[in-house]
Amino acid sequence: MRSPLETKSQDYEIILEVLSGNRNAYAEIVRRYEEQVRRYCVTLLSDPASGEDAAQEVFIKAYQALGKFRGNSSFSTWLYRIAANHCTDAIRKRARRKEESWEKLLEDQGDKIERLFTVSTNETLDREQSELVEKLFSQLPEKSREVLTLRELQGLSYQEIADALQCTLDAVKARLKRARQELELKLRHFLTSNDV
Amino acid sequence: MDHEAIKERLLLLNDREWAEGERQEITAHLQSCIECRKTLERWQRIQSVLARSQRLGPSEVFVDGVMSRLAAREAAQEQGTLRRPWAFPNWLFPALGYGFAFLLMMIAIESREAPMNTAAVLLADVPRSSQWTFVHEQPDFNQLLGATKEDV
Repeated sequence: MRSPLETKSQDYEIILEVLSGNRNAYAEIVRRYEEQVRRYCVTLLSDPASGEDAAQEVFIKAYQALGKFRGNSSFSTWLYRIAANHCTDAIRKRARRKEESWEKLLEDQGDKIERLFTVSTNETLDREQSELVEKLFSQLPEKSREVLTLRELQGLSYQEIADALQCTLDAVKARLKRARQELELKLRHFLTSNDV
Repeated sequence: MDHEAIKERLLLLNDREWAEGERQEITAHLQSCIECRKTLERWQRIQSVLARSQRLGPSEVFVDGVMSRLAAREAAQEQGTLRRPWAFPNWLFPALGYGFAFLLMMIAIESREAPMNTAAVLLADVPRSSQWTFVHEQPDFNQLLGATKEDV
């Protein structure tokens, strides 16, 4: 397990190598951050195919702008910033997609959602359950999905989120609070069922 | 801090984004407040599900995809550069536009008719001998009567 400082210095070394003309060295950067970026894009766009495609575009944009990376924030935060901007554009550009309504989701998969929140276990969710979590996220407004993904699925600190979304710490707190309230409101039936 | 203020900051505690003094105050409040405790528990339950959600896993196919897309873009860019042996300076577009506009303006000025005299228009149909009654300048009466200076 690398320390953040070690990761940062290794990132810089690779970036300098890429900037000196070795394009193949960029594959190592992609390898280091692809999981995070793919997950972020897939959750934000609520669609695996367009999420993967968007993640590839994010890495290409990052490569083209690599010379502008000043190192004021970590490389991953800088990547998240590019990903956030790219996904926002992609959401705006694509024709309004018919999202599965919350009522339809409850009707079809209500039992599974209930099991997800009532059965207490430490096991990793299977693929189907993880997709259900993504579907829950897709029910939230774009801004809420964005901040909640960065905090809850990617584990970024408030400061890192503020850097990635280019807003203030107070704005992050406010957006996070709102997003959590929205998600909690959606799940209220499942969360109150085993309250004492 | 009162109950409402603590309720606002409850999830900061859960996110470990608190100041040390706040943490003690919130923890003490949680001992006695069922409502805040339940709010926190509810959110912790959601968080535990989100934390257990499956990660995508590393994908070498994805890395290859990015690198081949990158190579294709660069090759296309190089081809574009080859097709255009000299770089066309961007500032030339507006410069040409302004130049053309200036040329049109000069042509318009050159081909403009002389301003029309109002008196000439009004007196166009009036016999020449009567025109003097309508203009400010007094006519040369001798000339008007057809007499020369020698005659006078």
